[in-house]
Amino acid sequence: MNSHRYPMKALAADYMRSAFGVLLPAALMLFTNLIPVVFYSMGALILLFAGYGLRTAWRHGTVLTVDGNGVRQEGLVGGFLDREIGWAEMRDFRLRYYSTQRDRTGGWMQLILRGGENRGVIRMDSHLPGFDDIVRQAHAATQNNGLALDPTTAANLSSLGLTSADPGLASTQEKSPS
Amino acid sequence: MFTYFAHRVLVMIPTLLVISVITFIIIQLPPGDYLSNQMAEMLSSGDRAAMENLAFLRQEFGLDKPMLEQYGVWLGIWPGNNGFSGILQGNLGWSFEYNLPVSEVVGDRLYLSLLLNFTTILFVYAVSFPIGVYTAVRQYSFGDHAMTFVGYIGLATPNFLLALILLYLGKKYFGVSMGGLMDEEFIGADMSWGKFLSICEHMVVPVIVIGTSGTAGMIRRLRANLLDELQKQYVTTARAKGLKNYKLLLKYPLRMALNPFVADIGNLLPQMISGSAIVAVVMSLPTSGPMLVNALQSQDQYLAGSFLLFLAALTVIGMFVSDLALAALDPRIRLGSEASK
Repeated sequence: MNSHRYPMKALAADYMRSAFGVLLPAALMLFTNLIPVVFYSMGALILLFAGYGLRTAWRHGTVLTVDGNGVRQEGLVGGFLDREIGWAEMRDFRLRYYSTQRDRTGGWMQLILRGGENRGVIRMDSHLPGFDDIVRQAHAATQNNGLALDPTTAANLSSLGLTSADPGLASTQEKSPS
Repeated sequence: MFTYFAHRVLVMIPTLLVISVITFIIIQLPPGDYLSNQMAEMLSSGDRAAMENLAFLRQEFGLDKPMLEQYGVWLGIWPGNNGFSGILQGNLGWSFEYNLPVSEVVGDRLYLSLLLNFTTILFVYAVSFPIGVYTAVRQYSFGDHAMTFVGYIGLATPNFLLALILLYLGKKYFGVSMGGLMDEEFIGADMSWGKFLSICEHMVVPVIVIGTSGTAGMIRRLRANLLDELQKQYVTTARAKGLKNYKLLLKYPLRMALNPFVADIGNLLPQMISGSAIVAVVMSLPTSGPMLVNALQSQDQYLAGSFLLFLAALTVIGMFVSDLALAALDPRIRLGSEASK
């Protein structure tokens, strides 16, 4: 059984983003006399980055436990957002890649796992130590469960060295359960 | 996606700030300013009263202050003579040439520019999408050759030339003047149903003129991308398994081929805006283009700055929408040669 937590280094950058995103619009709203359209835009920015900060705090307190049976997410909010998905009951597996740079480098991956009925969704990103191992285990479960992969997931898996380099070919190959 | 959205918004804030700095520097680059040029003329004619008025304006608008302070006051993040009163507070500044507030000089021009460019983008997508798909699916058919020919004509014809041709043809064969963006009776009038209809009628030709080259380019790109996808092995496999053609097309190849199509929203906006400026001069359209050119020539800095900032903000927002759509459509990693494309 392996437990994973987001490192403070990754979270600190997100906390700073959140603080910048809240404080700059708030300062403009407080100290200058903005026209309504700009005022409400700044309000929307404050809400967005306050939400981002809360989400970062939630990630800060989240522990992901992975073993041969499945993955479990435990964290803050009094267990309200706790989830557990067994590998055998996994119904969806998606791997996404996001980058804000023009050359698409320096981004991060997001893994989305969906369980059976009432099992909910577990999301994690590549800032989590041991992310590659979790992806590998989840991918193995996908193959065992005979789940189809979308081309995006297949292409991202191939970048991690887990499948064929041709996303289309990978997806069609894996649609046939072994 | 939420994280991406927040990160992307955060990237936009410094981008807009940098753009505003560059815009301000550009409008300050030529030696002197509008008032100093005027002052030189007054000196030669010996008009003392007007010179005193110009000196007052120079002090009033802080033109004698350091550039950084002028920038802060212009943007509204630094208090000027009237406290915080810049673009963020809705004060676009003073047009020295028209001797009026910029917001009054600009009037409906910014909104009309926005409407014209937005409609043109809709036109480009509405026309190029079905044609692009058709020409890829029916490669080398008569329809493909015909559309390709029309596409090349569209790519090769300068917008202003097409505008002149349509103006000539409209006048000669239909006896109508296609210039302007509304009937003369509506110029300066408040928005009404009649004015809206008049704008819609007059917008048809400018939209076609400005959108033609973009449409032609977009058709070629969509056709090439879709052809690439249709030749991949998964398509052959799906066909061999008996999947119907339209289902196969919609499931993956079309979605994959849409990526550059969506990514082009950001590139399309600056092209439209710069292209529409020349067309607006030829067709006498009351948009921002001709007034921006005049403002830059006469160094009417606040007027030019407001236009440039508005157009740049529009482009940044276009890029933002394009990036969000692309991230939602296909969040794939692209490394090596693909990353550099």
